Amino acid sequence: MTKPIDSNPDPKSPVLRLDRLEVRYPSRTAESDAVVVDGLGCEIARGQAVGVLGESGSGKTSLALAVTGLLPSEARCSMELEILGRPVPAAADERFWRRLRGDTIGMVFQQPSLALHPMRRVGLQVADVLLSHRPWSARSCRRKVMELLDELDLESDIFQAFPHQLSGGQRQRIVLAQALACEPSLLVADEPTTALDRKTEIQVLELVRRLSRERQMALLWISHDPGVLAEITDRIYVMYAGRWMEEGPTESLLAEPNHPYTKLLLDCLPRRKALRSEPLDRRRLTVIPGMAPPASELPSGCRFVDRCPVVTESCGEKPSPVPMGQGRTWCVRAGSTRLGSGP
Amino acid sequence: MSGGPADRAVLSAANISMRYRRGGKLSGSEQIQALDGMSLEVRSGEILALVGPSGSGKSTLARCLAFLERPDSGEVGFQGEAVPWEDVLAMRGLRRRVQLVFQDPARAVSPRFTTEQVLREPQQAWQQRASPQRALDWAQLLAEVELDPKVLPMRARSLSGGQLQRLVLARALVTEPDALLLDETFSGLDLSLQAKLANLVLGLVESRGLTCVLITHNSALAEQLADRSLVLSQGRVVDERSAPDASTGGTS
Ligand SMILES: Nc1ncnc2c1ncn2[C@@H]1O[C@H](COP(=O)(O)OP(=O)(O)OP(=O)(O)O)[C@@H](O)[C@H]1O
Ligand code: SF4
Ligand SMILES: [Mg+2]
Repeated sequence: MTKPIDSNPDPKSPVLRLDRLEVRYPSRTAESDAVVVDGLGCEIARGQAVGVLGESGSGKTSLALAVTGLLPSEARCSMELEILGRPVPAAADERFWRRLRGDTIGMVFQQPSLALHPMRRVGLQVADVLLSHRPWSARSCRRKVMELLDELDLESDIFQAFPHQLSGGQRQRIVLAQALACEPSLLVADEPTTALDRKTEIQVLELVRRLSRERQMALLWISHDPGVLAEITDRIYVMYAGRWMEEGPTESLLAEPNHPYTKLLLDCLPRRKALRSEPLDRRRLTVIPGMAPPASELPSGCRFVDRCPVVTESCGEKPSPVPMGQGRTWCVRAGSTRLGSGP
Repeated sequence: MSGGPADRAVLSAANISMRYRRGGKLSGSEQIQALDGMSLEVRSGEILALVGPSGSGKSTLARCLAFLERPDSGEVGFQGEAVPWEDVLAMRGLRRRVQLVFQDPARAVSPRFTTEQVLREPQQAWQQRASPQRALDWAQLLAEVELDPKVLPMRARSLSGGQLQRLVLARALVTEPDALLLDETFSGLDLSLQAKLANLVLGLVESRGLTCVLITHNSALAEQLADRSLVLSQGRVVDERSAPDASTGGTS
């Protein structure tokens, strides 16, 4: 068995360092594999919250599954991954990953209803996580669960409840309690709040942010919703068709995006001007014309080329990252011309 | 849009209340007052948004306005008349005139059905009673929701989220309803898809002269799309918002 990563590492090394991540799935129709994540890298420091913004099918979940060792068996994945300064071997087996997930990485995924067993009391389900990863007695596990429930602003009598007796927000907190039980250094979250209403969602996000500060826990938070990432992250990576388009500090990226795709995407947010007073035939939201390329027909250069309003000849080549402010933009025109947000 | 028939109420609720009993150990036999003497009118041809947090009674109200659930008390009206809940046949006829579309299209259609089967379902149910000689214009219907006719033989489970949502909209149009009720139809979607579907609905409202009730917790979206928003809280309407010039109206 490979030696798992211990929990007492060099405090200066980032919690996660990822490079050259590639994820492919065998294609049912075409000869070659579908490349859904193509050469991504990022770094997350202690206590830092990094967001990944991307649309459906852009490869966000594949990214989250890759760094938690949970990709389905048919997926082919290569990457250079370091957790707390220690490389994860390419040949890491399931045992290695399970240990890593229990001790160092916590996860919350898209559908909370699927994560909980319907017939087991939720407090016990949180305790189960501790029992399988800590050499503690049932009693101390239980005490720890009570502490966690309190930390997550849940009443202690929730311990005895079954999942169906809880609201969506409460269920999501239970799933969080499971993920946080072993005090991970990194929490990977794949759209866990999408099913919640906005108010509950913001409560959960604020809670996680507070815990991440208190515990110096790093966050990798994946979402299609810029509003969510604005609440919780320090830095955002924008993903499109398996590649980064742009990354930078949350505030500047959302306020002044540099990449044409980010600009157009943020223009779709229903907030720019009050359309309500427009007559019906002129009342339309901004959209990005066209669709993302299917994984089988990816353009060789910039992935956004078919939909980009400011495309030029050199877009046929793969863009290299251009430093912009405190971030980077993967666009051949970045920094050269002022990019309009539309034609 | 003002004056004349535009101001007639297509749908209305007069002082309706609805209470659910929530069982279970935690809550005992707690009563949930989902609707608490709610009154409102949906005017012909308008887009009315109902906004409010979860638990404010939005979905219960939607089911009442779609004649799927009868409130404990109060009256639901269609075209100015109280609906006859006891008259099962009449209610069946009314139900095709108001269509409710939910958030999760994957749950609304059977994954094994082909697109064509999904669309035939309401068509068959409706034609038996209404106008048997009328054939459905598939191409026209698919074009209206911007779906490629190639999807007709495809099974629902192989459609993308966007295609599925369009299919569910198309199915709602098969019975040629007067009103569409959209319950969080745009929630949880990518921004670009959300905007495309919202524009699609705006276009349908315009071209078909539909009345539309938009149920959402996203008040920014309501601000953009709807002529008027009603804010719900704890089973009541607590606020109404509209464009500053909406009362003067009269834009072309
Ligand atoms: N097991 C699999 N086999 C084949 N293709 C897959 C598999 N899982 C995902 N894909 C494909 O990989 C691409 C990226 O999928 P992924 O789930 O990572 O996207 P996502 O950004 O998380 O999307 P969403 O927002 O819809 O969750 C998609 O085209 C998807 O169809
Ligand atoms: S590289 Fe070219 S196609 Fe891609 S975003 Fe930049 S300008 Fe547009
Ligand atoms: Mg996903």
